[in-house]
Amino acid sequence: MAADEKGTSSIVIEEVRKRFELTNGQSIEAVGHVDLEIAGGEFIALIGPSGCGKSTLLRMLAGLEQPSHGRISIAGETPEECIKHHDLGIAMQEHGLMPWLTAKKNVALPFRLAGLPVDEDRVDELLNLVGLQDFAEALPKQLSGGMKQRISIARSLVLRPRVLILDEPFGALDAVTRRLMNNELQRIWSQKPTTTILVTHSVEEAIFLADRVCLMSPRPGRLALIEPIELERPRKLETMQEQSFLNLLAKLTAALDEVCMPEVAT
Amino acid sequence: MVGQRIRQFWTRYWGILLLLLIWQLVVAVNNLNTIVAPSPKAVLLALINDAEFFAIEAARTTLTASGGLALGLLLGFATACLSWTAPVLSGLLTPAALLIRSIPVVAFVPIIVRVSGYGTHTVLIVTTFLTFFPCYVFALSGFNDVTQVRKDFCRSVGCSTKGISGWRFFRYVAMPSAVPNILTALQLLAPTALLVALVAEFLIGSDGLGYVMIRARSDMQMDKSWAAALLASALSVAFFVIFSQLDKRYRKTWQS
Amino acid sequence: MRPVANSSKWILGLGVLFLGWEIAGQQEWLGKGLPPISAIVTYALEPRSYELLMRSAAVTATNAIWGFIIGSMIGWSIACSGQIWPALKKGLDTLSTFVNAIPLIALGPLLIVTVGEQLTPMTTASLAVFFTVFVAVLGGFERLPSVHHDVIHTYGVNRWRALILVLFPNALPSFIDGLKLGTSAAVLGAILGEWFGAPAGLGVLIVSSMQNFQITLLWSAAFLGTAMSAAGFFILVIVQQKLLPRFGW
Repeated sequence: MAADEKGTSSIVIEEVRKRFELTNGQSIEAVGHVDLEIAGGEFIALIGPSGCGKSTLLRMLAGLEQPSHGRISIAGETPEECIKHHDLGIAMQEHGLMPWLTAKKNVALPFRLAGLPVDEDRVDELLNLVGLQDFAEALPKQLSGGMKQRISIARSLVLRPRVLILDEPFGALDAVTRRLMNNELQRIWSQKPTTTILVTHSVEEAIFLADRVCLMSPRPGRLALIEPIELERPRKLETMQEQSFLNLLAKLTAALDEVCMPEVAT
Repeated sequence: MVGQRIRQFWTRYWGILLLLLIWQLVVAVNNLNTIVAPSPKAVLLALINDAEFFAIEAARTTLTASGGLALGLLLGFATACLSWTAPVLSGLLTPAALLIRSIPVVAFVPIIVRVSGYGTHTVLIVTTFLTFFPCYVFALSGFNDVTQVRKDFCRSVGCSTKGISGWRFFRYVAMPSAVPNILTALQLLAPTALLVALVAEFLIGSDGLGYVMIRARSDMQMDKSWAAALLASALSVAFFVIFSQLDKRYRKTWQS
Repeated sequence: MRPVANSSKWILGLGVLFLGWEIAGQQEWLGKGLPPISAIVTYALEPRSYELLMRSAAVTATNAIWGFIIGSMIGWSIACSGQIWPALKKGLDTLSTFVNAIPLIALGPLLIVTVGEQLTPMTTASLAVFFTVFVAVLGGFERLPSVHHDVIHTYGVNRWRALILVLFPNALPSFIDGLKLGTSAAVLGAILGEWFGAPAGLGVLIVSSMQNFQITLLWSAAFLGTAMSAAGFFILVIVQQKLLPRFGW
């Protein structure tokens, strides 16, 4: 099957739990029983207070951690198999670019690491997609924070993954850049809707980008609320001022506060 | 503009100039004989008069020192590569490397001389041996310096980050990550390599500046002995400056 | 750098090293130059060689300890002077770097004339130590977060008080790290210095046994030198573990 014809993948998360053994013999449950079905090409945003197990869930989806219980399947495959077929792309808050490589070479790095011939056209295409074709030869330190994240996203997409995993990719950016990047990400995603799971702290960002927003409650992490976002696409930055958006924002913020409250109280 | 330059020079180098001045003064005030302590001027004259001789000896020493440094670096790097794929090897070598780092190895050059015999090749062996272990430690810790985020990214594209199956990770990520460490190692080891080469020459007595230093002294040519010592010091400082410039120039790229 | 290897790895590694050495020595793989460890130990414990070794070690230890004390005091003073008189800092830094870059062995001819053969080992030892301590203290000063500098500045604390109350306590851990590295530097400096016509010491023993093919004596002397620097190192490790927590590190 040619890479171009790769479709998107639905994801099934079944009764997934994750327990970490501590050195003193005790253990803590980071994720406790999560069930979620994600349709192919769907954009899911995961919000929740710090330490609620969002990132752990994400790492399990990315095959970086094993669930202690339950099953994750991506189009019928385990995350590990999915990784082997280069069907997974990840971008994190820390961009993790290689400082000694130019932007272009950073984007091309997945090909090299996967042992595939470098598809120069694909690399150029992605640099164009993230609007950094003029910075192809720049080193990461010569780029701004937003540019680095764009390169990081381009890198995560270069192997045409069927699932894109984003962990707070804009967490380190200032508010204005962050909004611009949200708009960028929507544009990139809508060109070829890839099944995407985004972890974020920003409720605004979650509503703006996602088809469904999942709210996780802490200790152990569970899905407390799943809110479908039925705003019309493409969403514009002005959409954020509309009443329907603001209503959703108010509702989700209140829900988030509620799951956070026990924490504040203790 | 010129005044500023002079002031800059002065604030940076007053200590060294002061040292030279004290030397000249001590010799002049005590009215010391050249055989006891030559003045800076006498040493400089000795250098100039025998320029060709000193140039050849200095070249010899430089060549063995840099050859030994290059060999030690290469071997250390290669062994670190092997260690990375086979952790058993690092378990065996790391204690030895750290042990060697915490003992005054240079003082034990005589042992290596005894084992491998008198001759120029021994100088090279000694220098290689002494630069090998630090290079190994620096390179290996550089290979292991890859951040978790970078490792996660590599795993996410289906690239193992350990062992033989992780060779692509090693080639494209771990090895380049070690560059700053290797630059540091070079900077630290360049003067050491020169010191070791001088020590070996001094003990073996074949050729090179280390030998000239001791030979001229036994011939009562103090100016010549000091000239060799001064030249060796200048070489050492030059080594240090060259490698710290190299470090400054390339380290920047690695800071993201 | 990362903390390297765990203790079982260490014991295994050293065990293999010593075992390999013993076998290589017995089989003379590296010729007569590498005797088995057992032979070295037996020789060193013989009354006559034992006495010679101990006498030499005492001389070297004295040189190394004095060198260590003087060298660390000089290193410490230079680093502090740079803080108290900022105008001098650049020049002192350059001078120290240059003096450090001078190979110890090249200083031999100069030192035997200026301080004499007797004092040369102590001088080389202190020269070897001063730079490691200087760099360590300087590193400790620079580790101070700039917020603290701002605090010092806004409160108008004078430089001496700042040094004593803020800078030095802050540099203490790094100072002790420098001292740790300094122990082997001191032993090295003392041994090298003894090569220039000193009357006695391990350095003298090492060179003369090398020239006279007394292989086991050569190795015994080297072992003693190693033991000496290791002992100094571990004393400082203990100091570091017992003393530093008292200062809240």
